Amino acid sequence: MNISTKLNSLILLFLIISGFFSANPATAQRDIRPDTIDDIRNRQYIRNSRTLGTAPSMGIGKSDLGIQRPVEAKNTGFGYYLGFETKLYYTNNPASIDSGPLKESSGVWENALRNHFLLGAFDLGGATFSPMISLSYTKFTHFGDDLFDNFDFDSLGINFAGVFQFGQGWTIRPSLGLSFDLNPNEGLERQYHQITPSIALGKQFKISKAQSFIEWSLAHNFTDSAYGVADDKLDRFETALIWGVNIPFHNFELSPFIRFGYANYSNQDRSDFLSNLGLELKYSFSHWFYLKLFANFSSRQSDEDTYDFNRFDSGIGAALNAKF
Amino acid sequence: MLNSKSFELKIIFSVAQLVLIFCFLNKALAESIIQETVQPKINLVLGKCFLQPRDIEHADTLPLKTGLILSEPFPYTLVTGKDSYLEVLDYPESKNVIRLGQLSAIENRQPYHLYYFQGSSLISNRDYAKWRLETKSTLIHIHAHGTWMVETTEQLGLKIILLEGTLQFLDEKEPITMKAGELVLVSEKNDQISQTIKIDLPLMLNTCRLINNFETKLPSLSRLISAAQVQSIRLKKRYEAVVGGVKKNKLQIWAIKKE
Repeated sequence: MNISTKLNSLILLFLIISGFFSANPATAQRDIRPDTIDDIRNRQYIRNSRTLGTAPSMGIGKSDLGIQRPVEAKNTGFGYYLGFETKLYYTNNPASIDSGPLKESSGVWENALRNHFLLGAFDLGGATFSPMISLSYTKFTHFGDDLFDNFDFDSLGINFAGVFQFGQGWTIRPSLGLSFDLNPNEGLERQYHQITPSIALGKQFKISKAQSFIEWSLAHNFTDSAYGVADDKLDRFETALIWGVNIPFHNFELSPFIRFGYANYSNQDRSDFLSNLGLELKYSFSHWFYLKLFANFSSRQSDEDTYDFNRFDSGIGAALNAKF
Repeated sequence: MLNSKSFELKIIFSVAQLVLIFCFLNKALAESIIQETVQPKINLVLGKCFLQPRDIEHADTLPLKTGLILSEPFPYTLVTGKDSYLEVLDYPESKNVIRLGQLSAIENRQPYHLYYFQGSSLISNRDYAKWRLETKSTLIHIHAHGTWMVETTEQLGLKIILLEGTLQFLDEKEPITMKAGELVLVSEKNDQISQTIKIDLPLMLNTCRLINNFETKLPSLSRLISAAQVQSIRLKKRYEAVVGGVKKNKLQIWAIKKE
């Protein structure tokens, strides 16, 4: 990316995020984390932006050694990624509840600023190790129904992860995540936070031209809630299995995914089964700017019926990404 | 009293000596047995491949077949025909491999001493060893472990690409060390070694016949993949060019035609 392109992207980023820091009061179901799929997609973007290159359109030639294309590489692999994503979507159940007066539809404007620091890549002789620190700030603003004025919140996320990658596309990713939900109308007062040590086992594989991934994760969330919820009531063990496919065609990419999760609450006699089904269609204008359409269906079946819900979200989004 | 003590000490000393000698002999014997039992095995033959002993008068050309264990004394030449490939590995350890590309003729003069008449090879060697690589007009000594490829140039210089591990040229005033994904040319004039060029490893792994044309799996394959992954993550820029042949001791770089 040359300097003028970087400058343009920064100006665009500034224009889009103007008005970003304005909002309303909040309460919502904190144990339904909105960023699970985006996190996975972002990690994939970072990995793929480094690993995918276009092969020159020429024959292999006479040499049995293969195509020898000169490259320039860093000594350690330190990298910085800056990304901004804005999403505007309809949801039929912003409160994520089974029934009641709050079961109304609304619009959501979601803006996320993400920073990823790749701290190098190390060859372990048969496996690679790449540590990464991520820092994100996401703002959720509801509109279309005054009922949900109190549902607005900001989310600050910090994540430390180490990705071990093995042959045949296998990965192991231990990580430690910290999430803070803040009330933008109360001087960013902390409403909820969770600390999440986790480990995930993943595999990437090709299905024809499509890139498929499957990941199984184990996590424990240590939580601290405010506003009438006992501090650690939402402490829970979670395990989840996600399977997704990225199908590229021309400048488009179609990405369906399915996720099943199980949560067991440590301080409640409660277990939940969660499922998500999603579809995303992305159009890339360049490697640093894309637009997308998306739809997600989420469902929770709990052994306490009051926590059951079904929810459907659908909307559009745009993202700017830069890597240094 | 003193005499009996010195007698005991003598006995202890001689027993210790015997134990030491026994241990030393055991180790030497074990090493010699291991050395004797490691033999080259033809692990895969694709097309027409031959073994040509140097002593032509007393030994005939031997057509090579998969599974053959070689008992030929050094030196002998391994030869591959057109569209033919050969893989030889240490038997029974199977951790060190040499693969020959098509139209290659490489003489195995001694352990770790290869003389290239022409062609290309891939060497995967887990143990650190000093190698002597030679053509009619080039001679280099390297200290290496890992996986690397060697190809003769038109003027019988050598092109060397290290895929994983480390490789050091020993004849230089200041030893030159290659890293994974680097290419050098050894010129036939004074065995001069060129600057290193970084090569796109994932692309090379996908297009290299010395890796992909064999149905057997290279023992170092997982290391090749991890070296390629690390290079991908560290990548800054891919040049719109590919390395072509070598002419007049200069590497030919061809620009990639834009579609």
